[in-house]
Amino acid sequence: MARVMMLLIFLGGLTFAPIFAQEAEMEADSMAIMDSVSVDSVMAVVSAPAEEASMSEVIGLSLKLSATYPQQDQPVTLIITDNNGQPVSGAVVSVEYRPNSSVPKLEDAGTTDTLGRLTWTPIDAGIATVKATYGEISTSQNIAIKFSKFPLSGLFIFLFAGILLYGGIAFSYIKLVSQY
Amino acid sequence: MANGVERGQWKSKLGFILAASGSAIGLGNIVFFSANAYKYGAGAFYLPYLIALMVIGIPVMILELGLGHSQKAAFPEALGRIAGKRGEFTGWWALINAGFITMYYITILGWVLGMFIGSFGELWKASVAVPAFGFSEGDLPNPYAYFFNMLASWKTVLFVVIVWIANIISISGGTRTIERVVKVSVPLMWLFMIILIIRGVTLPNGIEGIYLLFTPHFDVIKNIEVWQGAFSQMFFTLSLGFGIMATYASYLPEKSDQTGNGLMIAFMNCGFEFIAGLAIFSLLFTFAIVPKASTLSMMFFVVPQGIAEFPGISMIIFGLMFFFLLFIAGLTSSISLVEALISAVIDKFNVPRRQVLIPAVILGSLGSILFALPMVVDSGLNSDGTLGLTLLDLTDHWAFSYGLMIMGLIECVLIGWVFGAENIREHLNANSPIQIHWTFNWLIKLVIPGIILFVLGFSIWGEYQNGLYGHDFVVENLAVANILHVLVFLGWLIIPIVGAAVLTSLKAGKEAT
Repeated sequence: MARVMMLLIFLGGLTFAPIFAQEAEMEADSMAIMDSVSVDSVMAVVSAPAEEASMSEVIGLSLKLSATYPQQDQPVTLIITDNNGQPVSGAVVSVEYRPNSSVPKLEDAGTTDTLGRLTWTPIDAGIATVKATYGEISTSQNIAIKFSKFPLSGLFIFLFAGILLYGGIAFSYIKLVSQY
Repeated sequence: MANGVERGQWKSKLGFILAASGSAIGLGNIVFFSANAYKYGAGAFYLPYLIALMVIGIPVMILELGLGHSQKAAFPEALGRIAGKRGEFTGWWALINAGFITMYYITILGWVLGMFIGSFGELWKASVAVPAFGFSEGDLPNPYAYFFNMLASWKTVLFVVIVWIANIISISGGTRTIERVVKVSVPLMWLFMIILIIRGVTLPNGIEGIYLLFTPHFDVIKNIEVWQGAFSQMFFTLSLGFGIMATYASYLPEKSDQTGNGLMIAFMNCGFEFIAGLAIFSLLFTFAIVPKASTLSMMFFVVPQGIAEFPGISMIIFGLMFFFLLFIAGLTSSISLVEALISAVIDKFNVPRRQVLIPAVILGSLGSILFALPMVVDSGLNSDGTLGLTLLDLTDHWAFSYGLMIMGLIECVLIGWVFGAENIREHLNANSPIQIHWTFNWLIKLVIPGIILFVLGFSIWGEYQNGLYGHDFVVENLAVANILHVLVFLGWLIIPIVGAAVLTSLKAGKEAT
């Protein structure tokens, strides 16, 4: 309910749903995006040659999540496989929350089991980079973690800033008009 | 206009507000605020940002408007009237510094035009090779590949010339034609932004992006870099230190309220940034994109990367809309930059506008072409890539990051201490129902100069600590890099000083009316 109210507040009651009725398709697409090249990884490609696999049995890593949009405080399964689709046991997984910001947070998520799986519970919401490392080979991907509950502090800041800025426009408009 | 050239006047208050807010709302408002908000603690960034708006943004905006309105002249002439030759020199220095920014800003607009054309289809196709930089097919996602292919071609020169011609046509009739352009483009900007927001929040989990934008991480507040970021952002976002606001206010009638105008422009500008954040963050969250704190990468890579994931035709529609929005936002800003320069020349030499326009378009285009030079100097993209982009980055570093702040500092000192802050306050209060408190004088005389000195000092300290330009600026050819560093720095240092000295010493034309 709170989320619905938030949406209504943000949109001022407007909806655009009939025009963009492709949500389901987008949900499916976004999984593919998770696998696509991220901005950071592109810049890594741009700035340095790709890492070369040093272990003969594993060439390249692939990282998949059981949920397209994991949720804060809700466990999610990570699956690490090699380029042949074989599970990689013993891969070390780390997570950087809010990468490329002045408030990053690092978390050691653990090591994959014999099935290449790891159950991990995101401790924070927002954008994060999950990195899996096996020997000298690594892979990473950006993920978006949903909020576990409605962020009231965010609503307060939204209202405070919105009222100040748009109230300021209204105030100056009234003063300018009142002159004439 | 017995012997002089008519200065022109805004036909309506709305025309002035739209022109001034159109000037302030530029490329940075659409993407740079979001990048900064992400970098500096999301919702927590609003605290230093809003404090910066109140303490530095609105007072300096009102100060510049008051200066132009009280002196009825463009920036150098207005500063000259209140502080003599040193004032005029400072005004010309500011405008030449702004001239550098204008040139590369128009180059960027040329690239935006190129991306807009690409949005009809080419931009969204599967990744192509970028031979000039040695990238094979599939190495880079297509918004990147398209951009770098465009950058390494001479067609950007054509785009730059087109943008210059658009600028000159827009200002050819002075306030009359500027008003016509902004009355269409500024409302369109707001409309397109609202459509993009609606699209953004209706994306899967787009609303979570808005939670992300506003949910604060208050631990950043103690970080001095966040405050420096907020104060610099405020200076740049409101187009302060360019002399634009003084020029635009000089076209207002005798009885007009600069305090109300200043508040309106500042709040509209920041209000636009506020809603732009909604569109950008919903996109970032839905597609799990990590933003970069750079206007260029946000405009040309990050946002297009998200739009590229839209299904079907909506990718083309929203791509076109995004780049058209960028283009008109940039155009309304660039015409104000060009107008500030043209107006100053007209005021000084009292020559008809049409005589200034042709040399301006030729000189301006040549300058902008310099920043569009497609020769690859760094194929590894460790720094920037082409010669033009490298020059742009270096020039931006000095002219934008330092030049505007230095000008803001001198402006406050000249108006606050030489002309007298009380005089400008009296002028503002005489024409406004909003009465400015006497503490404004001390804000102008002490507080704002102190803040600017702090920001400048912090930036210089950062250069000392982290290396020049704030990152390891390494191009493949070190000799070329060193030559460029020295040339650009000396160019930025010497050209405005010599140019301002020459222009100040030249004899003025007959009095303008």
